Amino acid sequence: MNTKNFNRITLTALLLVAVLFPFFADFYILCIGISVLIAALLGQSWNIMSGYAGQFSFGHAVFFGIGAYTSTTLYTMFGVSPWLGMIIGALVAALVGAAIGFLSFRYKLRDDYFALATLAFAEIFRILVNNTSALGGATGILIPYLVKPSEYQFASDKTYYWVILALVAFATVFIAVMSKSKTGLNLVAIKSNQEAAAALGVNVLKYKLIAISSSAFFAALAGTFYAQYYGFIDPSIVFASSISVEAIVPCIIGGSGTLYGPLLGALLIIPLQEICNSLFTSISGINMIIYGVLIVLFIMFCPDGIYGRMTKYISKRKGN
Amino acid sequence: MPLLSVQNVCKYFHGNKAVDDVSLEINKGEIVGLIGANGAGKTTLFNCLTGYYKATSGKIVYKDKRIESLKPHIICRMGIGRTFQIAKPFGDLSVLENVAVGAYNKCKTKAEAYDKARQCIIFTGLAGKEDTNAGTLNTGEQRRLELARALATDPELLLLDEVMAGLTPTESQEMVELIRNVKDQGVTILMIEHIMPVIMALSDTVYVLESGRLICKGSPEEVSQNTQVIESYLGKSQEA
Repeated sequence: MNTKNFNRITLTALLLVAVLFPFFADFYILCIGISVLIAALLGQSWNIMSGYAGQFSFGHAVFFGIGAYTSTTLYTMFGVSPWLGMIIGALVAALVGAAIGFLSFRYKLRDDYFALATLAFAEIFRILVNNTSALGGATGILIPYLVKPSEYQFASDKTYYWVILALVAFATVFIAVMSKSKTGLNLVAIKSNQEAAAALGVNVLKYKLIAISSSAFFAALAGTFYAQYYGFIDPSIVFASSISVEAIVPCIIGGSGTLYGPLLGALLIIPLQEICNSLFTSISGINMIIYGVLIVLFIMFCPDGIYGRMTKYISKRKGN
Repeated sequence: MPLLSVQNVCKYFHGNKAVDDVSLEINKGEIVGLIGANGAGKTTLFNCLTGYYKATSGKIVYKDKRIESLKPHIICRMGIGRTFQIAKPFGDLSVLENVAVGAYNKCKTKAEAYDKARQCIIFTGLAGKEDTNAGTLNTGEQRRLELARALATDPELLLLDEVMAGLTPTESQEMVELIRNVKDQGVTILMIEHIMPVIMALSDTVYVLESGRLICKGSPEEVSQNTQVIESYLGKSQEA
């Protein structure tokens, strides 16, 4: 059996396990499964612009929040189905992403400074929405729960699970196709050295904007899902810096710039968070300390992420 | 009608004249050498020609078009390729993918681009290294990769910034051959070089820069005998 066939069989088996998972999980475990997939989708989204194209974002909450707020306001104010709202939200986020990118790159913000700019934009949006009474202000928006699949509302958490699984699969296929294309090569080239990329005819600004827009698109899909699943959003939840962190951590832990890294990372980090939360209840905050220490240790000893480590190990064993 | 014509180009950094009133012409099919001591302004001039710096004043005309305010990727698309003094391989990509980035400059489809990339890899003597991670190449291979990538963009004019830097004598000799082959393919070359024998062996015309100003132009023989050049560039050791 050659490696390609082996990979295909492993992948099919894992996908099958993921699809059938709700039949074997109780309610609590299923909720964790959904959290894992939300983190995985955010991680994949971050992976495009930061992992592949090397443009660090500390403010992915801005896109997540735009997704959540666009579909939710369209639904509660105008009765637009959140399915359509999800797509509109994703497109709006992509546009906002392009605008943020254009402003930042136009003024030659790079590396840490660009990352800080994204953080600032997320804060600006949080404060704006917080003070806009038409959008519910700080009170947020409660989505009426009507249990209509045509309006992105389901009776069973199993269905929610399959929806988010499909979105994660969509993002992963998108990245798989992109990474092998001209766009993918150009993004990785820009990450390595944008001057050298430009010398080879790569329009650096254009490709950075493609990266940030498609990244924003997927983060917004996660935002709409979040809103529909929990039924309530407010600015301090969906524009929170904790959302931005949730986009970064799975990618860093799993391996940024790799196809499966963020999936692995989410699968590890969310259950770890749950375990920390449930084991250490006696002293408040101790769970966060332990979680933090574990992440620091991880980054110290496995800076390429699990998937990066694995592929390096395999290529070493092949002796190349 | 020269392929590239540089007319009275100046580049100042806060009053420091890095390139000062430089004019030069490159005709199709030539290899033109650009020499000068460290800090003479050679790389700054390259950066002006390729759009990385905007010249403070002066005109740069390539094939009848002014290019001094164009962006680097546009200049590349017009047919000017370049390499960098410090090799800049894309470390996360394979050798083949590195060269394919350049090949996409002119090629429309993936098959076409990878085909072109393979040709350039063979041409520069990197055959067999296609799937190697570019970050693991040695200095000599990195220099070849720089050249392969630039060639893949299908340039008419190629600017080489010290392609010999860090090479062993054998590798330099091979690189000289390689540059000859590039010329034979009809590519015009402007090269910055420190190693005199290389300049002597390859150039049709040599320009000498000192403190941002052109002090001499001529055939390699003329330039190497010019006393001003010997003093400023080769040093005054003859007097000692």
